[in-house]
Order: sequence, then structure tokens, then C-alpha cells
Amino acid sequence: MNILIVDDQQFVREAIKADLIESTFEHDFQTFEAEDANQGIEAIVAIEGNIDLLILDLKMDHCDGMEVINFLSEHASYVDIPLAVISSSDKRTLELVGSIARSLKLNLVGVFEKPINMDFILAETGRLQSQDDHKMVVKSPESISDYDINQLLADEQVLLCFQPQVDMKNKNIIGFEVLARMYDENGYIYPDTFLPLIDKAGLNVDFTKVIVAKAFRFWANEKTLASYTLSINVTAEDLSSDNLVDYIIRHKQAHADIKLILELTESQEIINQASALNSIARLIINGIGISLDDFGKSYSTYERLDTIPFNEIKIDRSFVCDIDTNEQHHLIVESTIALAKKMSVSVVAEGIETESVLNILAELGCDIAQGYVYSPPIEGRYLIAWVNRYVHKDIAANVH
Amino acid sequence: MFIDISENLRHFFCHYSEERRLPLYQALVGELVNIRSKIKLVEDNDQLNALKHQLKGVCRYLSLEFDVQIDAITRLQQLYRLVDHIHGQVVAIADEL
Repeated sequence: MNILIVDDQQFVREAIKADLIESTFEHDFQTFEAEDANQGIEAIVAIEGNIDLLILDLKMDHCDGMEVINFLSEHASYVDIPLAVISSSDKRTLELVGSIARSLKLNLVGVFEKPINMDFILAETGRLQSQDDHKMVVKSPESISDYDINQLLADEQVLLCFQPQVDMKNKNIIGFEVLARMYDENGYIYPDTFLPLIDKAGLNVDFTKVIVAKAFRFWANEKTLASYTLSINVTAEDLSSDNLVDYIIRHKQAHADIKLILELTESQEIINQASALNSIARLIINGIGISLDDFGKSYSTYERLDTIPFNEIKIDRSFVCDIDTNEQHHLIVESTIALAKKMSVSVVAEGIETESVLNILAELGCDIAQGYVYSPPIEGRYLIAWVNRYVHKDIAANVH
Repeated sequence: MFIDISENLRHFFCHYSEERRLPLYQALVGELVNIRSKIKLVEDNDQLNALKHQLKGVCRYLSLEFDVQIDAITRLQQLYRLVDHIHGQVVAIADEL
């Protein structure tokens, strides 16, 4: 995989190269470097556009990254080069550059704030390429066998990412939802691919155990995170396993300071079975919060609210993402929030991607926000830096 | 008053394998020395802002929350002192790598 790094700071180029080497992707990377836009353009021409990823800094001495962007757009043979724009500039500038690159029909992987998450960029690049029927990096369901899934799980080839949940009133971070990725030598395998295979192989409980163990280990090692909730997804089927419920309770007892919430998703309608209800009662007694995930969709209905003392409900993203344009969804979300208020249950809205949706949810009285508007899922090793940056910016915003 | 950043530095370097640490360390020292030497040549506000931007990039990689502090810098001397402070602490952990 040929990667061209255009950045005027040698330290940043070295850090990117080190991240590539440490990456979970085991590609044979060949890196090329340029320290300004002119050198970058010369490098693109010299290697005849044979570049699998162009990492481009925006603001550089002499001439800036826009020069390279314009050059790519003016040359049809280079317009398909996957482009990741990186910068320490403010978010609005990054959004503007992203819009320009898209309008120029460039093959934009994304626009990323420094420090960049190399694994995420590589995964996005792979996803982009697979969409174009090019080389596959993110695996399709057909390319993974039951044996692969068994082996990957046995090897704990699971990477945890964390998506922040933010208090809508004071903008403080409330906690994080754990989102898992599996990976092999070719790259990330996303949940829509591996979850059905895990389900088919009957490995749901083993998978949840790996997530619980890894998440607790991570939270326990990072004292900064102690004040935030840790939300982990479980299925109703998981709760039918006494073994798993014991396992979760043991972890909670060993780390009483970790504010664990289990987000209950349902793959089968078994929640009303006595064993599942019994498990939920045991979890609650042991100080574990229960959140009703994907509310309004499939089995997460009002009946559940009546049966189980949930701490919070999460409105399904399909209702949230377009409430600024879809009147029906607006009504559904509005009534769900009103109901939750009357039941003294917190409401989390997930899948928020725009300020417009965020503002409407605030007006409706939603308690907690989650979505790309704050951050995509963050790989564990970058989480503390993200928290510090967020907290710092918030303090700055309040000062002003 | 500047804060102790040695833990941030250790945290940054320990993410990388031993053979990557030295080139990274050398690049970091080189970057800071480069910014510090350029400060002496600054003639206008644009040049000052360009150096502030470079320092911000370095700090972000090190998980140093200096964005606000750097944005607030208006005088060359302030920038020099901050770069010098970071450089001093980087040099101080050299033996630990």
C-alpha cells in the first residue's frame, strides 16, 4: 500500500509513520514524504498517481494543502486518489475544506483533526475502496467463515471504540457507549458483518464476555474515566445466560466505582421469559443500570417500559437523524421524550449528525446526545486525549 | 506558569515500540528546536500565527491541552518561553526512552 504523507512538520510525519507501523492493519506499507504542497505534487507525478492513500496537511509553510486539492481536481488521472485531509485548524475550517473537496468530486476519505487516528483512516480508506469495487480491506460477510469468527474471537481480535454521550443541558460528557470492531490481517470487520456470524455460530455470550472484560480492563486502567458511565450492549439472549450475568456482576463487584450501564438490544423476543427478567433484576440489585436500546424499533416498545425498571431509553437513530425534515419522526421523538419525562426516565438520542437535529432535541427536552455531531466512535488509545480536548474546549467556550 | 508535561510525554512514547521511539524523539526535538529558532526571525503577525499553528500540531500529538494557551499568545517572547518549556521537558526524559 503506497501512502504519501504531505506535512511540513517532520515530527508529524514520523508520528504518522509510527502509527502505520503500530496499526492493527498488517499491510505492507510503503510511505513517501513531502514537506510542502509543491513537493507533494512532484511526488504524485513522480509515482504516477500510484497512491493508495494521500494524507495531506492543510496549513503548511510556503503553499498550503489547497494547492494539492486543486491539482488533484484538475487532473483526471489523479482525481481518484483516496485523500485524507488533516489539520490542527478549527472544526468549521475543516468542514469547509471537506465540502470543497467533495464538490470537486475528489475521492475524499475524510477531513480529520490532529492527532489523527490512523486505524480509523485506514478502515475508512478500505471502506471507500470496497464501495468502488476496488481492493477489499473491510471484509464482506461472504469472505469470512465460521472458522474465522471462532478463531478471531478465541484470539480476542476485538478492538473497542467508545462514542461519547453528552448532557444536552450543560454539555458535559456523561459517559461512553462501547462499540466493537473485529479485525484480522486484512483490516476491520464491522458489526453488520460479524454480528450475524457470531449469532450463527452461537458465540453471542462469548463475544459479550470479551467485550465486558476488555472494557472493564480499559476503564479500570484510566482513572480519568471513572466519573463517566460505561455503556455496553447486551442482547436479551445474553441475559438468558446465568453464566454471563454472573460474569458481569463479578466484574462490577470487583470495580464498584465503574458506572456500568447495559444497553439492552433484542435479537429475539425472549425478554419476557422469566430467566431474562430474573437476570435484569439481579443486575439492577447489583447497581448496574439498564438502558432500553433502539426504542421504537422492533421489540423495544412501550410494553418493555411497563415490565422492566429501565434507567434510560435510547431513541432509535432512524427516528432521530432526520427530525429536522421528517414531521412523523419529529412527532415520534417528541412523544417519546414526553413519556420518558413522565416516567422519570432519562432519554438518550443517538445518531445525531447535525447541529440542526441537536437543537431540535434540546428544545424537546432530550437529556443526552450521542452521535457524529460530537464524535465518531473513538479508539481506546485516543480516548483520553479526546476527553481532555473536549473538556478544555468547553471550559474555553464558557469563559467566552 | 507552565505545567509539568512529563507524564504526557511518557504516555505518548510508550504507545510505540522501542525502535520507533528514538526516531520519534529525535523528530520531536528537531521540531521544537526548529520552531524556537524560527521565532527569532518572525517579522509579522502571519509568521507568528504560522508558528503557533505548528506548535499546536505538535502539542495535540502529545495530548497537551495547550490550544487555548497558544491561541492567547500575542508576543514572541511568550511563544519562545512555551516552546522552550516543552523542549526542556522533552530533553529531560531522554534517558527514559
